[in-house]
Amino acid sequence: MRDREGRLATRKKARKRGPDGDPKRLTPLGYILRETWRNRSRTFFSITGIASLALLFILFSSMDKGLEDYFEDESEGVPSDESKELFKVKQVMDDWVYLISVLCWALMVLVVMNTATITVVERKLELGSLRAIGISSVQVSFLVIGSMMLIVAAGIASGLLASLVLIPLLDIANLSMLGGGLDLPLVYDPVSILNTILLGLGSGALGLIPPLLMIIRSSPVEVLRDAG
Amino acid sequence: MPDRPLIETVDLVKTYRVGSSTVKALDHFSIDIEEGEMVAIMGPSGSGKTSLLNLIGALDRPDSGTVRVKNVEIDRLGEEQRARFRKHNIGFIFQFFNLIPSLTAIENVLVPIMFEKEKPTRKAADLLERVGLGDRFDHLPGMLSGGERQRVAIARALINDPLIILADEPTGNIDSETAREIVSLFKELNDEGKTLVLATHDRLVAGRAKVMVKIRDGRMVRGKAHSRDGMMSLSPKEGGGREK
Amino acid sequence: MSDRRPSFNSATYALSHLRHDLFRSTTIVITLGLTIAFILLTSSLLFGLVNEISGTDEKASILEGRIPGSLSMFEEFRLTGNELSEDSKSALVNYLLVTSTIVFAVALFIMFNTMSIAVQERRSEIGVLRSVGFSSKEVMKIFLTEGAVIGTISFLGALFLGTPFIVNLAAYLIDRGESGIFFVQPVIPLQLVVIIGALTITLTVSTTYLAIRKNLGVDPVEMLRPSG
Repeated sequence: MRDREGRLATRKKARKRGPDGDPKRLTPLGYILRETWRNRSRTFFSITGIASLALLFILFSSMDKGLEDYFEDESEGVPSDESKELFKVKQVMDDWVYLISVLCWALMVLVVMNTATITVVERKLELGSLRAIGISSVQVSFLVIGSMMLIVAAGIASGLLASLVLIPLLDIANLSMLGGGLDLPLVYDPVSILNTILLGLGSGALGLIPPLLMIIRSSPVEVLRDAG
Repeated sequence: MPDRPLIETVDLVKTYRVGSSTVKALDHFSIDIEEGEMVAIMGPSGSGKTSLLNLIGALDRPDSGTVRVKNVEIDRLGEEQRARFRKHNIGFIFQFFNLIPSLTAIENVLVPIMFEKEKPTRKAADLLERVGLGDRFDHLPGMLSGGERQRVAIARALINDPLIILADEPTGNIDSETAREIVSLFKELNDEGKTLVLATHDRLVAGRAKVMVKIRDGRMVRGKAHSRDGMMSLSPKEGGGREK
Repeated sequence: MSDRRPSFNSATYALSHLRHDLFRSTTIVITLGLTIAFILLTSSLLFGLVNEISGTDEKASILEGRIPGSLSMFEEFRLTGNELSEDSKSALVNYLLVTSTIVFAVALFIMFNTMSIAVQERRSEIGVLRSVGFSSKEVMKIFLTEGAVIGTISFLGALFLGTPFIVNLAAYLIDRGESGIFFVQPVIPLQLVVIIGALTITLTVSTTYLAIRKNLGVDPVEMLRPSG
């Protein structure tokens, strides 16, 4: 076991040395990537959680857009009893979609907050040691923000990618109505893509506030003492 | 200006809350440490050794009293200023090494300067070679023995050329043979002019130090701190302070 | 009762552990609670919708104005619902059915994810318990109890705080604050409360089991070694 690790390390060594024989530099981003990889199972769950929420959000945005488009076409011409009725139906659907989108956002904030908090709690000792050796709490916060934003970005990106495949499929299957009479399309709107990205960044920023406060308020001494 | 000692603490008081009770970690503690000294602070656990190191290392602030290091009153500095002060003047070494598990040995040495623009990677490599880990650059801490990890930690403490090295039970978690080597390394650093303050239980470590100070219940019980007037800090007015 | 020894069992341990990291436990419980509330509401909506389609007595309660009944959107619909043509009505029912199924599935996934994130990286704790003489079975029992405690607290929170919170928030959002703040206690069918409750606890316990299982075989000494 040790042997294998040793050999692995030697191979890595050859790769990491630059041409002048100097070892590779360590940048904050490198640090963030390494730590994120070490906690890969948690990273995986956070990314998939955020991705599924992003997917839900963009799906509902597309439904909403489809609803708009459909009723825009329908309401042309003389207002009839039928179109008045359709308007009522649309109102209910609209509100429902809006409701889910808001709750989706709340959940995303919570998922980010949850992951960031657990990460900060479990990396207490590491973050405390960093501060002891002279990294300031602002810089430590930067590391935490960086790793969370990386997760959020990966989550949003994979959610969007999944939606690129899923939404056309759902549209073809016409699942939105299940033959309920209306043939509502799903419309992929660039605005909703932008909204999803903004949603992710916003929830990331909100979810990070409590764990960052935790870092800034905690004293490195307490952390090191508790750990010992 | 007459030479002031590199580290000067006056009447330090530090209390901690542990649950509902308060523990007096340091009780009117004063000590002077000259540049280039190697001081071993001995005492049972809970005697205030770690608290003293934390105060000297600008990690913590005293309840009262002053800490002057390099003529800077570090107890008056804000959190961010203290972090900067630590980075440039203090090298910390811990009992449990506190390396970053996901980073290789060489990267661990580079951690303190990862936010700087200048990254003297060559220097980090030299330091690792110097502590005898020339062939272990790309090993993760998990693949290193306790002694090797502590060497990485020592190299990390040296990356910013600090004047002062503070070590809290540096040999507490490694076998005595390795501990001997670590102490020799400390001695070597001291010979080069670094000031070392070691908190330890270990007689072996303490024996190699130039100055030995014993503390108990936050007060100095035996010591031979060379202060300016050549006076020992065992006098009741400095060591005592029972009245509140 | 005459036994004056302080009682210490796996439940005591679990509770004290949760209390120790209060902030962490709180975020976990809030996230889980909100997803469970989501699940409760969407499932009761689904329940009603299915009944609506199959023509059973217990109709979709939102259509009857019960669960989130006081929302003006559904209120309005309830008043006019009977005037809708069968086509529009079934279109609406289908729309709600599909969307709430999707939301239900995502919420279930998030619940699993949150729990998985929470129970990772407990190696050192397992190491301590094993080294003081707990058998792997006992360690497992402690952790499973903790999972069950988290599940129970989250479920009760969801039932009594989460669902009213969502419903009232939704009412406020959809009204755009026009009718002011009011309070509705949603009515959730008893059979659903039982089913979702059992589901929650099964899920939290089994996720814990999956996360802990792989660490039990490892030598405790190995787990106690500082990782850095």
